[in-house]
Amino acid sequence: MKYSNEELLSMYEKMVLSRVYEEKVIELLTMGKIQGGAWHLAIGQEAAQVGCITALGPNDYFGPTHRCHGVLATKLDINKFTAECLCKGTGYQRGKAAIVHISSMEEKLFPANGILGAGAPIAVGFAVALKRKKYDGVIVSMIGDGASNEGNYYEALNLAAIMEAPIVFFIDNNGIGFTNPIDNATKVQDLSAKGAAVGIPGVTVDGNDVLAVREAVEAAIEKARMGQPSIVEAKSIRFRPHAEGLSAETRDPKLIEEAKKNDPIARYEKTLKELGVLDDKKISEIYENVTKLALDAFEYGFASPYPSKEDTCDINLVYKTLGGDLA
Amino acid sequence: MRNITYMQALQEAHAEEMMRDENIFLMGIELRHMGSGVGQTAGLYQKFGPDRIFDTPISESGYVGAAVGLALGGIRTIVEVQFADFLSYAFDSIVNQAAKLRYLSDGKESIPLVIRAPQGMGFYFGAQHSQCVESWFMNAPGLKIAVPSNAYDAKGLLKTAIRDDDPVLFLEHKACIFMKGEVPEEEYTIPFGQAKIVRPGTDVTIVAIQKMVWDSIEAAEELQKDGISVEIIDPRTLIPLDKETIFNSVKKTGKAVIVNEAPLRGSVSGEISAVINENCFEYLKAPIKRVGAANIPIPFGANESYVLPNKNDIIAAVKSIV
Repeated sequence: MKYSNEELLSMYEKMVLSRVYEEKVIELLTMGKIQGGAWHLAIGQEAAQVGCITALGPNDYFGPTHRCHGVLATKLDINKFTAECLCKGTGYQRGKAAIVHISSMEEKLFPANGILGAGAPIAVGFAVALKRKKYDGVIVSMIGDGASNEGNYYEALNLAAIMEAPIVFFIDNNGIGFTNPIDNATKVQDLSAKGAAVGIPGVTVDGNDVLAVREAVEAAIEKARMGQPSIVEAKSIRFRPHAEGLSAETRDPKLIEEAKKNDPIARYEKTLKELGVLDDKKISEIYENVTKLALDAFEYGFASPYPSKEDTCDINLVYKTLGGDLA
Repeated sequence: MRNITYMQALQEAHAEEMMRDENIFLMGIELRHMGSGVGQTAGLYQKFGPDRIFDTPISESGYVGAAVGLALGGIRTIVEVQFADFLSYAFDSIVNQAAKLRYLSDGKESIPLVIRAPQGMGFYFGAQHSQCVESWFMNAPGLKIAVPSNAYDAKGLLKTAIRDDDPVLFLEHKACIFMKGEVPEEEYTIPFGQAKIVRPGTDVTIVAIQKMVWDSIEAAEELQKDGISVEIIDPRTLIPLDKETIFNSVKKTGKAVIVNEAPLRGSVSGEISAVINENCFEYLKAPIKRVGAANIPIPFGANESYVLPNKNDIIAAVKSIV
C-alpha cells in the first residue's frame, strides 16, 4: 500500500465527516433551523472529493465547486466555514460569500464561483501567476459534469495547454446537472476525453474508489508541476436532489437505490477492514467524533451574530485603491 | 511641447510602465505581429519579448478570465480586447469576476487588472465594431472606467490605471486614436475622478466624453458666433465620476447638455443627468438635454452618420434651452 495507515484512516475520517456534516444539514433543514437554497449536497460523492483534496501537497491550491460543503468542512476551520454558510459575521468572508463564493487563500482555497465554468479560466490564469512567481505549487480546479459544457471551460482547457499552466482540471462527475441527466447534456462517454480537443491528456477513474481517485490526481499534479495540464474525471452518483429545499428528486428511485449499494464510504470501510486498519470500534469512535465536530460547528454558527450593515457596505472591501467618488 | 498621437501616447504609457515594473504582464490578440488591432502596443513585443507579452487565442471570455486569475495571483496584468464590442464575450469575466472578487474575499484579495479596448465610431465597421459600450458597464460595482478623449489624458490615465490595484476598464476611442496632442516628455499621471474643464463658458454646460468632446468644441465655436458661451467638461473617468466639477459648472450656467456616442436609451448620459437633477435642481433654468445615438444598430460604412450624434445635434440641443 502506497499510503500509511494514518493517511488511510485520515481519508476515511474526512469522508465520514463530509457525510455526517451534510446529513446534519438535511436534519437542520427538516427542523426549519436553516434555510434551503444554497445547500448543494455531495452525499455519495465523498470518495471523489476526498480523493481529490488529499492528493494536494502543502503548497497546492484547490478550487472548489458549490457542491463542496462536506469536503470543505474537512479542509477549512469547520466553525468559520459553517458560520460563513450561515452568512454570519464570524464566517470566512463575514457573510458575503456563503459557500458559493468562499475562499481562503492562506489555506490555499481558491475562490468558488457562482457562475459555473467561469472559475476555470481564472484558475488557469492563477496557475500561470504561480509559475511566473516561480512558486512551487499547482492548482487543482474542480468542476461538475454539468458546468463542463460551458464554453468558458473549453476556452480554459485550451489556454491551459498553450500557456503550459500548472493546473489539474478535476471533473466531479455525479451524472446529472440539476435535473438533466448527463446523457442528455453531452454525447461523449468520458468527459476526460474532451482534453483531446486541445491536446491535453485526461483519465477517467471510478469516483467511488477514493484511493484510485487520489492516485490519479497525484499523478496529474506531478504532470502539472512540469507545466503539463491534464484532466482527471471521477464518476460517482449523488444520492440527493440538486439542492436541499430547492429541488425535488426527478430520477428513477431505483437508480439511487442501486447507487447506494455502491456507497463509497461502505466500500472504503471494507477495504480498510481487510487491510486491518479499521474495526467496528474505531468506526464508532470516528462517527462519534465527527458528529460532535459537525454539531459544534452549527452551534457556533447559530450563536454567531450577523455582520453589521457598516461592515458589509464598507467601500474599502469593494476597491483597494480609493480616490474620487466610488461609493 | 512635442505633439504625439493618442496611439503613441498609449505605446509610451505601456512601455514606461512595463520598464518601471517587471511584474506587469500584457496579453491580448495580435500583439506580437500587429502591435494590437490599431497599433496601441506597437514595438513592445520587440522590447519586452514573449515572457512579458502573450498573444492569446481568439477566446475573449477565457483569456480575460485568465487575466483576472493572473491579477488575483499577484501579476499586474493588462489585457487587450481588440474591439470594445467583443467585451460582450468577456462580460462575465469583467462584471461578475474581476469586479466582484475583492468584495467576495471580504477585501482580502485585489485584482490589479486593466482591460483595454478601443470603442466608438471612426472605422466605418458597422454594428459590431463601432459601438460605445461604457453604459454596459456602469452598473457594476467594483469596476473603474476611464474614457480618455486626447493623447495627454490617454497616457496619464493609462499609467494611473496600470498602477491602480483594482480592475479598470480602459476604453480607447477609435476616432481619437490618430489625433495628435501635446504630451510632455517628462513623467506624469492623471488621478481618477478629476474632470477637465476643456473650455470655459457661462451660458450652458456641456458634459461630453471622447469623440463627442471634439464635436462639442466645434459646436461651441459655432455657438460663440451666436453669442452663446459654452463650458465643456470632460469627466475623463466615469467611475469614479467627478461630480463636483460638473455641479459647480451647472450651478454657474444653470443649463446642461450631456453628450455621448452610445444609444440614448439607458446611456450613461442618463446617470449624469440624474445626479445633476438630484444635486443642482434649484440652480437649473431649463430641462437637462441629452445627445446620443439613435436607438438603432450602427449601419455599415458612411451610413453610420444616420445613427450617430454629431456637432449639429449638439448645437440643436444647446439652442433648444438657451
